[in-house]
Amino acid sequence: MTSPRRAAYALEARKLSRALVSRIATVSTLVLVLVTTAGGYATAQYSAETDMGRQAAALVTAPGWAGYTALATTSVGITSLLAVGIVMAWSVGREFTDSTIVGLFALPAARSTIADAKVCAAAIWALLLAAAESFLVTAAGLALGLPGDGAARSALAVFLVAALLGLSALPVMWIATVGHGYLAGIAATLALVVVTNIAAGFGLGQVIPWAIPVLWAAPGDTIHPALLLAPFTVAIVGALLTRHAWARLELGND
Amino acid sequence: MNDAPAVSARGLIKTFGSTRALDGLDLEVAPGEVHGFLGPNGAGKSTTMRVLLGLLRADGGTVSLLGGDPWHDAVALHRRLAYVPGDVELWPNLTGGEAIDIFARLRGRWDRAHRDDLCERFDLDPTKKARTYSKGNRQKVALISALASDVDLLLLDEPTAGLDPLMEAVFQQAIGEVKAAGRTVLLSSHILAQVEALADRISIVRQGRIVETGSLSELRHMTRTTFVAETDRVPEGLDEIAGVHDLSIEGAAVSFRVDGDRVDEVVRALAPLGVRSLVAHPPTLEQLLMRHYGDSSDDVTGSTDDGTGSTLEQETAR
Amino acid sequence: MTHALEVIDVRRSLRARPVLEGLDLTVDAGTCRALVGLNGAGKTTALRVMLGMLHPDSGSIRIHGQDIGSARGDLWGRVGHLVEMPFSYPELTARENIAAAARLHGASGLMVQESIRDLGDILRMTPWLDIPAARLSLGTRQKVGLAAAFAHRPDLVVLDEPTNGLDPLAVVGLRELITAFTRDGGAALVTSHHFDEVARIADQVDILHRGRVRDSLAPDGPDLERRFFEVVLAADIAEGRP
Repeated sequence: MTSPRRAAYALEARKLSRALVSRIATVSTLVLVLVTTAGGYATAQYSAETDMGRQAAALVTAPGWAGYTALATTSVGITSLLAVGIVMAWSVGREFTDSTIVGLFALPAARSTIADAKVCAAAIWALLLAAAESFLVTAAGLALGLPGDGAARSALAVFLVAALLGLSALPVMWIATVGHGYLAGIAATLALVVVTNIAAGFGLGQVIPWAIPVLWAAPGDTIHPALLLAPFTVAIVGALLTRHAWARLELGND
Repeated sequence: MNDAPAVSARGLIKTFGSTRALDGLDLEVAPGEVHGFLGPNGAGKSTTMRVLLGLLRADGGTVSLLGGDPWHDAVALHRRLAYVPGDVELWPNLTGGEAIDIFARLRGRWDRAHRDDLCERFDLDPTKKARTYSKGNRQKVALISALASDVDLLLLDEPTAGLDPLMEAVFQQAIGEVKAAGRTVLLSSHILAQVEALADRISIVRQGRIVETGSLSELRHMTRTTFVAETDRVPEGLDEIAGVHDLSIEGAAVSFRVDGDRVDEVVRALAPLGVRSLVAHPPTLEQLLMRHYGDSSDDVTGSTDDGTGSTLEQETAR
Repeated sequence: MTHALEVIDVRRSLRARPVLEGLDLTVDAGTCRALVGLNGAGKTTALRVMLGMLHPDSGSIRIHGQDIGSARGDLWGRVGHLVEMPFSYPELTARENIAAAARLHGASGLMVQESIRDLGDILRMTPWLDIPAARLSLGTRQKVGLAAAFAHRPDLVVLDEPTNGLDPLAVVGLRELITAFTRDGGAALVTSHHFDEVARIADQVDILHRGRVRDSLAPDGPDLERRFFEVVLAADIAEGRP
């Protein structure tokens, strides 16, 4: 990579790692997923007689790792999309809201490169977050007494779901660019989460790319794994739209 | 209205991590006065403003604003004060007029006619949406809403940043009116001409502490007036007058600096010499400040740097 | 001779209102040109067009003889700017901000650290270099933005109201910085509302009024401010405006 391009990637990575938004999102996602998954499973197992235990048991729809994984991916499904979407919206939107966008013009690195750098930093973070979620959740499962056999499969499933969901939030960066601010991006994130969950509730999950990963991981007659390409495609499209919007960006034209 | 100070701070301390932004700051602003607040970048001016606005809680010392505590009584106090920051953000979809109205309503009574008059004088179209405003126009929105409100105290932090000289003149005129109405103004600004024209008293802050406070004339007594004169007869005996410094005589041209309280004596010594031309400039605010600004980073870096100080003196002596 | 910066008959409308109406401007190497005008004259739009942030409706911008629309990215490595907001991400320290800006312009390693040290001295911000920008005052952040414009040793700088928020000593520092910069062959375009500063920094003062440069004045000579208003008034009268 030429040095201005390398500088752009390094800068976006550093900004994302230092930002309070990403730190809070990381911690809260990990905590929420861990608590709801491991906590829910433990409550179902060991406190089956209590009210909370019965409710938790209702969520664990299959024995062993299958049920645990379903619980984990459901939890991931709600938190990951929201957390990653917010961070992605912030990464782009803040340049407009804080007016730092001026510093990203008149540079040897094209604006499309800056967009790529942002997408890359956000995507890598989403993948790292997915890996961390998967690791913690699986370790907790083992600690709760689930057998060693099946742990790797569960870990992989959780990682895949979390990673796909995180990446599929990328269109939000395009919305934030076009909307010149992070409010637009955050609104888009919320809309995604709401629509996805409602559609899934009505059994329409198969047509919503963002609902597919969680549905795939559910025990029972799951959907065809080829459908997992849908959220992945959405991610690519989001990245390309974002780059395109940044390349055509102008200031003061609103 | 009693004679209690509008703003009173004693020994204010505020630390951010390892930085001591305020280090025992004392400030007193009398009611009805325009008080200039000056200091080098990073000296603690904005931090002080934020403490006064109740946005920050001091770590030590006492502070009172209009007789109340800015932290605990913030809500009540904010109805009686108006703040103009150096960098104004507005709601993009509201018009300028709507933004002004919102700010003004937060403060209770306000005067529509006065607001319209100010809009005209500041050449601001209040019907345009805020997102179309340049930085200067956003600044004007904040200024107009502050000036149009019926408040007791105005806190202004670089209020004319980004305004052209026409607007600077309108601003100074408007502050004069505010003062005539009996309001108090705390003005933090780097535009020395502005502070010189408007302030009754000034306080100079450096490294979190007030290093000098007083009226301009009081402060002038502490520094020197520069004289440049041409005389018929070669000036003699000037060097013997106490309070005359840096005397330089080249033929009939003489220049020197005189302590503020010796000016009269010197003028009387010059008169019998047959003065052909005489230019005297009292210390400008810039010269007064340079004593305090010049050493600031030397203290921190630990080096003495007379070079820069004298360059500045040469610059400001003009 | 190729001008460092050349603005050729640029026109631009925003929201169906003409903002730039045939703007012509040149800045040569080794000189500092000031652009002054009342609020609303079109300064911000002009700077945005010059730096490629906004496309002109017609006309062109050339930097070192190359049209910015078709030039290679490397051209921008020779340009530094501070327009609207200083380069100053709150989560990064002053030093990190300046280094990032310099590297984005293609500067590397040792040169960057040396530049930061020198600029820190001239602008008197050395004590604040390793503090996160979120904790810096507006004036200090302005210094960071100024350093970010110069750190990669450009040969053209575009500065919008560079003294905004600077204390008088820093203003002198900036003046020294620009003087040294032009002496070494750099070209500077500066906008300002403060005529006394403009008079001390610039070699030539262009007056922008309603989207066009109306006149170009030499800064020395009596009362720049008065001459400015004379030009503006004459322009308004000639166009039959109130």
